[in-house]
Amino acid sequence: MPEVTQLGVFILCYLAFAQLALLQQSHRQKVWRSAAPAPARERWLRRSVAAISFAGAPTALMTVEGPGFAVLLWFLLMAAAAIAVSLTLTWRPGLLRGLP
Amino acid sequence: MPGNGFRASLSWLHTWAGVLLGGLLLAVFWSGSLVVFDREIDRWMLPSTRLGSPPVDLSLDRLVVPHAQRLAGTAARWSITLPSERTPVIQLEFPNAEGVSTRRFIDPASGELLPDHGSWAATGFLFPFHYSLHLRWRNVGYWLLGIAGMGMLLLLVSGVVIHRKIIREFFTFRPHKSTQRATLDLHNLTGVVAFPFHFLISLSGLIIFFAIYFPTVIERIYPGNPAAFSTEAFGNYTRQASTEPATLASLDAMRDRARGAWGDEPYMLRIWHPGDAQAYVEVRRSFAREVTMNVDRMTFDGSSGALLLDHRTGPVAAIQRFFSGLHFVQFEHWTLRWLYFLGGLSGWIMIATGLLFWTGARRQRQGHTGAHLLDAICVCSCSGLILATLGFFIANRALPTDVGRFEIDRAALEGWAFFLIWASTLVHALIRGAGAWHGQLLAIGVAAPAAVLLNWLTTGDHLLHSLQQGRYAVAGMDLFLMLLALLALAAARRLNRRITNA
Amino acid sequence: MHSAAKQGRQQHQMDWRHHASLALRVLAGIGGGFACTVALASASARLLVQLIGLAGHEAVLIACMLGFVIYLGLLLWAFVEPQLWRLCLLLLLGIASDLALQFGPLAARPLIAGAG
Repeated sequence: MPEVTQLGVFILCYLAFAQLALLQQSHRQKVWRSAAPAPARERWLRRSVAAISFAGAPTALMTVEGPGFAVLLWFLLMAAAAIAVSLTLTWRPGLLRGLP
Repeated sequence: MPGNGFRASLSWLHTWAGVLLGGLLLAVFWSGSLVVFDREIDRWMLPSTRLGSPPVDLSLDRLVVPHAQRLAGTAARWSITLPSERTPVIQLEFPNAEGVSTRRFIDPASGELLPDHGSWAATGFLFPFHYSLHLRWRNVGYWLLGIAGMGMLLLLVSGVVIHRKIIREFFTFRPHKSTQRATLDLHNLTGVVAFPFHFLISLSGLIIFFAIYFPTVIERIYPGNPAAFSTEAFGNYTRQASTEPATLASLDAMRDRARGAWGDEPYMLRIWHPGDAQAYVEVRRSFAREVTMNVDRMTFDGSSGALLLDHRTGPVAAIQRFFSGLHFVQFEHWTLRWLYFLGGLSGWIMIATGLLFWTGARRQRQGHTGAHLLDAICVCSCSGLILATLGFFIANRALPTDVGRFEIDRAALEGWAFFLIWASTLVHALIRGAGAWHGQLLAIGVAAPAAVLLNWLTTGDHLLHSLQQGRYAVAGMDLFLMLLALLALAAARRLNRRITNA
Repeated sequence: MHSAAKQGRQQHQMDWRHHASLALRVLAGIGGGFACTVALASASARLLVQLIGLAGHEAVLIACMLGFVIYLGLLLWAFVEPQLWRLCLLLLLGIASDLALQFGPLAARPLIAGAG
């Protein structure tokens, strides 16, 4: 079912954006209440996970949907995921604590 | 100031374009977001069309042609739109005796002509409002939209350039801080995160109307013969009527032939000069399967059924039609449709927060000097326009259907309700200034449930009943109205708290 | 007292010039930019047909679609460019290029690809 892939891609983009957000000082303070900036290894790890997720998203979409739909879905699911991460950071930052 | 540095110039441009075009853009984005679900709103506004899934095969000759000959025997053209999941009725459109475009709906299962509600509904009123503001004199509406579209592109590009902390504040939203900070955060968030969507929507909207904005280019390549461009690019076939009568050949045969040639369904047939010896029939291919709004079109001779022109979408036309398609959203894809709706609303939020931030900053600079024209325009374009839309829905349910007896165009009355309510919200805002927000938000909180109630009283379809009967379009509309009321009341309450805390 | 009045008058003159320059910039950018865009789009369509041999309708479509992007670029530049004379000069050059194509050496070549 294409909806499953779409939801999967949304979750993938959400996790990818969350990784990037967790590298930023202001958001780290909210999630872990500590002001320590990320060490180099954590930075590399989070960025790699994000990159892989972002690469996987359009690939998954392309195989399931037509090329036109895939491109539109990618833009819109990315936007939705980014907003979802932003709203999580605003109202439930603790939810992101468990992310490796 | 312009010319005094890259960022400073674009900051000036962003402010000025935003202030001048903000209200117009809000109207376009609000109507545009609603119109993503225009066919669903139509089900709500035209109760007799709340039918189940249409039959897979139907005979146009048997179901439609008799009605067309009776209602539009002397009309210059008939447009027959075949039913789909979202529109479970056959639509027959024709110019009436006064030349005004008229629509009637036919039950695809029984062939029964459905009663005329006397309403333009979303597809007939909100959709044209979105692309022309109903200003038809000398294409003024289209040109205003052109200015709005180019302005939107300028605002987007300048906005990204002047946003200094675009990476650092990518996910930032601080509603607990001051109203101005929260407003600006939300403006930046919706603007940056959905930037590709907003940019493509604006650009594609302009590309749809390229022939209106660049007629000179067509004239340069096809001097004195713009029709030749239409024929070559889009397969437009035209020929004059003779005065000799002739019977129309089988539309079903033409449709089947087109179906066989494309391997895909047609979505519309248009019969030109029906009943004439020089009649011809265009069969157009469905847009359901892909983003590109193809221009595959087969044109048949009306009396003999012979093929006159078989046009397939060329590669360059496909690019223009891809842009059109990504704006029109006529394809069958529920996830994308919902994402477009949310994307459009995010654009509306972006523009509204931008205007609110600027008016708030101005008020802080100049002190509370009472009502100002731009404050009033801000209120009128946000809550005012929402109220006007609700008035349109309420008029649709409240006006009696036999008003046509008194020679009054009932559909026009609904339109008048929209514009009169909108105008009165502007007057209200001019008088009350920023205090108008609270009153108008409360009015939304009352009007939206009133519309839901009227739907129940006039059609018997309350929410549970709609869901039970599988009328998801009607249920969705009622749910949207209830959600709108809740959001408006919550906003009014928050506004009240800030005023009492200030 | 005389020098203060003179300074006031100079300030007033500067404001007048400033407003005029701004008005000219807006007119040049929006109106002139549009005229230049139409000219460049028409010229491009013509060149696409005559030099590359694209079909007429294809050239029109490509030129019109690019036209919006060109206009966006011109509008942005109109407000960013510090020297107003440079802006006006380039816009006029754009308009002139289209006129040159219409009446210049390439004018005699056929417009419809394959017609000559």
